Amino acid sequence: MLEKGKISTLQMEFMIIPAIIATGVLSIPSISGKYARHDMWMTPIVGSIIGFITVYIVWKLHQLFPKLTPFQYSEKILGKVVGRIFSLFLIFFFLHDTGIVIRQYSDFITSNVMRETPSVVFSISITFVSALAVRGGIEVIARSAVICTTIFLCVSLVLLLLIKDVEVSYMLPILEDGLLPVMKGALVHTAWFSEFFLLAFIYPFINTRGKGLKSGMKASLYVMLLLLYFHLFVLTILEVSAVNQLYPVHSIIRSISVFGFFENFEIIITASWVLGNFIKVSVFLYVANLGIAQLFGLSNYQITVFPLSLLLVLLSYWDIPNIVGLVDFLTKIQPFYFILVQTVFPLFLLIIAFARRKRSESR
Amino acid sequence: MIRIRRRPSKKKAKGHFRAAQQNPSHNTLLSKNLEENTQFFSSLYEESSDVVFRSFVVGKKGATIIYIEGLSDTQKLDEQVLETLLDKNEFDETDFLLSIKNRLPISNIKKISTFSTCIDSIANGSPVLLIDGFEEAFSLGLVKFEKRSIEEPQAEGSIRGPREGFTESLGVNTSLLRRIIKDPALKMKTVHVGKYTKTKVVISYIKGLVDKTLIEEIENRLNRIQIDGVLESGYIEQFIEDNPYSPFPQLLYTERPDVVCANLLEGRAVLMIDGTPFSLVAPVSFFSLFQSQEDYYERFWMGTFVRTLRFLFLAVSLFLPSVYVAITTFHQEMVPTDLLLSLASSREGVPFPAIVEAIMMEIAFEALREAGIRLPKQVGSAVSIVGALVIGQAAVQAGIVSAPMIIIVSITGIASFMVPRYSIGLAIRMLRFPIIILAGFLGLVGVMLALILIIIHLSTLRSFGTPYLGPISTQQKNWMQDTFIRSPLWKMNTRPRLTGEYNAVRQGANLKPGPNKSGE
Amino acid sequence: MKKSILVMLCCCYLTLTGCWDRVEMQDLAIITAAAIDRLEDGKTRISVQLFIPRAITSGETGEDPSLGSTFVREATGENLANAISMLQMNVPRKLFWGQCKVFIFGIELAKNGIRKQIDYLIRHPGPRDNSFLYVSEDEAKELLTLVPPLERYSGEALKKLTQEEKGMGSTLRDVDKALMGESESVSIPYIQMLVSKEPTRKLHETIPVIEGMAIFKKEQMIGVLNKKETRGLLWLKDDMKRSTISIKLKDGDGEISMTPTSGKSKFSPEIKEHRWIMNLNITIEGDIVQNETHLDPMDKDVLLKIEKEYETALKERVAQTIEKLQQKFNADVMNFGRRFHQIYPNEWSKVKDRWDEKFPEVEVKIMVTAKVRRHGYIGPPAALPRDEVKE
Repeated sequence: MLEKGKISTLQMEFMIIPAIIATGVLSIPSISGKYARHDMWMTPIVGSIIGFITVYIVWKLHQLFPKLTPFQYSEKILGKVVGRIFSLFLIFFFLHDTGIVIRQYSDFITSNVMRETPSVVFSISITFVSALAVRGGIEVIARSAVICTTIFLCVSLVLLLLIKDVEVSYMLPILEDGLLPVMKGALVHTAWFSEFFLLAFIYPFINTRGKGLKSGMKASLYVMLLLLYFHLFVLTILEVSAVNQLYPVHSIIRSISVFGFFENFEIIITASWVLGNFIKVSVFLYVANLGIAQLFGLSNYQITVFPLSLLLVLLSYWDIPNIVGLVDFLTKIQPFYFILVQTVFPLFLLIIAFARRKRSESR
Repeated sequence: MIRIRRRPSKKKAKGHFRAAQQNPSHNTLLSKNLEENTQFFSSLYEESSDVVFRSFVVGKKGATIIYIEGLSDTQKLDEQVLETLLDKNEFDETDFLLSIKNRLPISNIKKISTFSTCIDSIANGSPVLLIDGFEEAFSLGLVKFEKRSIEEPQAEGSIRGPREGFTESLGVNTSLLRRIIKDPALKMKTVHVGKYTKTKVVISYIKGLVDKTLIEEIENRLNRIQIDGVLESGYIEQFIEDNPYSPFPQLLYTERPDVVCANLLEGRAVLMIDGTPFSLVAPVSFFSLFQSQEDYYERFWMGTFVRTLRFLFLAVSLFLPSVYVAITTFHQEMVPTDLLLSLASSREGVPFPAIVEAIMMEIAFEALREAGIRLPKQVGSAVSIVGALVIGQAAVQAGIVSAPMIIIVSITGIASFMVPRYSIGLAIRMLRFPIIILAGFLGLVGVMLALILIIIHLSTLRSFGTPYLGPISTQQKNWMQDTFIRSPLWKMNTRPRLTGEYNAVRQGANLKPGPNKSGE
Repeated sequence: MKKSILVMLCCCYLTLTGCWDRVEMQDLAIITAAAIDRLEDGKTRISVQLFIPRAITSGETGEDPSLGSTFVREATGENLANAISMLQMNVPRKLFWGQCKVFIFGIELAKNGIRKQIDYLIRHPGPRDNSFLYVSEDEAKELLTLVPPLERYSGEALKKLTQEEKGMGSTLRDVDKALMGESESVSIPYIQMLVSKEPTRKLHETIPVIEGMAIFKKEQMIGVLNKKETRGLLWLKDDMKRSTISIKLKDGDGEISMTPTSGKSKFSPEIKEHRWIMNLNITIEGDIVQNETHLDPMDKDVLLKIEKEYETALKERVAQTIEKLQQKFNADVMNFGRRFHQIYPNEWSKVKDRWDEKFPEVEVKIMVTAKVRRHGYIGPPAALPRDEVKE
């Protein structure tokens, strides 16, 4: 066994929530607002369905192969060759995804906080600290996640200071153009919710068996509630102009003012968001790393961490030309691509696994 | 001061070393011939004027007493041993040794038979009585040397709580523990460490509360130590830590018996080292380093309040200078307008960039503090006057340093004194500098990166197998009860979970006091 | 060991050569307010009020505090971005927009359209979304040079004036939101220099004050509401404090003034047989602050009368404002469009494109409920013999 660490379900929740919300909170409201407009607050609720489905599929797979990660059981389900190709594909998928995450992070910082610093500084620094955490193993990630996520979520409570600026009537009219715009808006959420597939790589290391499903569902619910929380504030404060903003949540945070004295502290929130993002990158990097180690039968996964993170930094620049390309990718390609890989493929795996089991039983 | 006093003893040890090498027959048994034995000892202790050889005749047999001046009770030796032995009374020839033993009015008297035990016995202050014609000698337990009396602990004062502190003498220290914990389950295992100092290290624990593997692990680690001498508990600490490169202390040191007992009762092990008033507690967690004995002695509201304050000031003392640097050089929009304008006015004309200013002032502050500790008390006050005057006022008036920076540095300084354990305060003081540099590099993002690095490091760290960030990061049951808050004593029914097996229940349930309880 | 030294050296090298964004405070030119004007040749002129840090240090340095703590610098360019980059060349320190909460548009610019400037201000990460916008009666630059007697600089004076009354100010975001929304109209405070008759201690010692509301429709300014009409607009915007209303009773020989303490305006749109109706309910509570008449407001009937009178007075003033906005300016500053959209999305989608034509036709039904809550320290009129008090 490559990973000896064990984590608790609560730690798992602390890991998975920022792993989904950290980048989601940046760009989702802008895109979902573009389609759903006044109904954008419904989009996370609709989108979360994919999250619940993915958690359920992943859990069923985990029950079939309790101590294995998808890299290992795909071989058992699909056979050696196809399984390995599938694992390789998954690794590339996670590398690509991590690249996007890193890019989103560094782009955000350079365009909002540090405009003259080259974005590669931020890519390298976040990848470096994440690599350090990954080298420590899943226990270290989980323990750091408990603290980082707590800080990250506590700081996002600052939005409550905006309550006096909230104009609830912006939520009207409800469902002006029917459900279709909401569905379209929810599509962008599904890409993020399908990332609950990550649980498949964490489940084998949980110390209390049997509680994984409940905890995964809970995490999915929390993510939905958090996104709902952010969406509500964005909608009721920015209304239609949210569509124009590249980072609407950041933009409403900019207008927080307490006693007319404490103002402009969006930088603090950005800084605490770095913590969330660190957990996100760590979890993704960990999964990719574990995949490589398991696929090639390495004795430990620590050796590949640094080469891989270097690759990731390069990858984050190779794929996406600029913010337009990024938004375009997030809107048009990512939902389908992510759902396909993270929800549909596992579903196929599950079906095949069940079919095989049936057949062997009947024999 | 301590170091200066200790050094000569080290030199003495070196001379000792040469003598020992001349006689390879160290572990051999004593010879029957008194002449041979005394020959051996006098060659061993040549050039040692403090070793006394007293030869005399007892019951027609030659005898020699060897002891070191100042370590043994000469008066008792004279009155009780020599007087008895030199008495003209006959001794039973058939069992000469037993009759001598029976005559001597000493409770702690042991038969020893090797040279090495003789040497140990002499070194410990027990005079050795060699008698001609026997392969055995007596070690007379007449140890008496000058020791400090029990005083109030200097480094860990408290308003409420016992005022006794450990002393340099191990026997006194163990007795202090025994006086508090009377149950025989309190165990003390002895290990000797140090080739020349042969320092006695006592592992003390309460059987049934402590994890057995922990004791085994501690013993293993102690036995692994191969150094020439142990002068302070720090020597032991640095050889048995889990991560020697970490700036954070992985063992807690204390000179208070009540703190030690509290830890023993929580299922930890304590190492007591001869020659130092400081004992080591293992394992510890990050949060236990922020607990002070008075948290438990005062009402729990105060305990909770003070503890929260401590964590707040931990953040302040770690991050305040770096956040200041980050905000004034990267994120000026964050400062409220009026404050920014006054900051800008006070920064005007200051020749240094904020980061240089911060590092400079922090170093100056650290220097002042260090100078204050080392200097004699009379000179110390001069240092603080010069420091306050020169750095505080003159530098600002001369326009070399801005006034806000002085305020920041002083707040940071005060904040770092809030930590109840000096060793973690040292770690925080040191970590401040790299964080300032990171802040000067990437602003608040840099500060956050530093925070992440610290969190990762703390997550990796273990103290004797228990996670350093426990119980917060490991999310154990009742993890809040003794970390950020201090729950009422009647509610803390379980011990903190350390490793593996443990005795969870601390006290009976439903202990909440109230007016009607006694009637039931 | 060698390895760790190497790593440390690398880190030092990186950190010491980095610091791309680092700006020392001594290298900042803190902008406290900015004014944007359109010159006759169509060029844009930006004037900024810069803070002089030396000015507020303690008396020891020997500066004369009355000299003012700011100065104004300007630059012109083809457009705002251009002008600002020219401005940077005239200022030896880095322009710092983070604390600039006041932007004043010159009237020429306002009449020509402010969209291009708004785009710059919102797009650029420096200026804040919640900074206030103003339109000046004349050249905006003039207002920056004023030296307020109380505040440190005129921008601060203006900001404080606006913060006192929340409904008054329009932030960058409000303007962006309103021009993007259904009504495409917005109101921005209209300011001018306060002319005081007292002799001032030095030149330009006065402050800018709010004189009314400039009404914008589709980025262009189309008119100004005067002070009285502005009050009416403020009542519509739920901000009624600090505006004293005086009424004259029929049988009274003077006026009774009331200061509202709380008030609410509620819009409920209604579409009845193709008639678009906006029901406007205003509830207002207030204190009597002055009583010139001989009437005793402690009397129940008198009080009822006073309240009735307030209701009509308020109704009149609000109606006047709405009338002007509907008929003269045809600018939907009160967001009627959005309110209709929210309740009647289907009907709205039909008139969406010709809201301009529809808006003046909207019937506004105003209902006012006024309540006198307190009378101050005294009940009956002061300094009046008891028997002269009318009941």
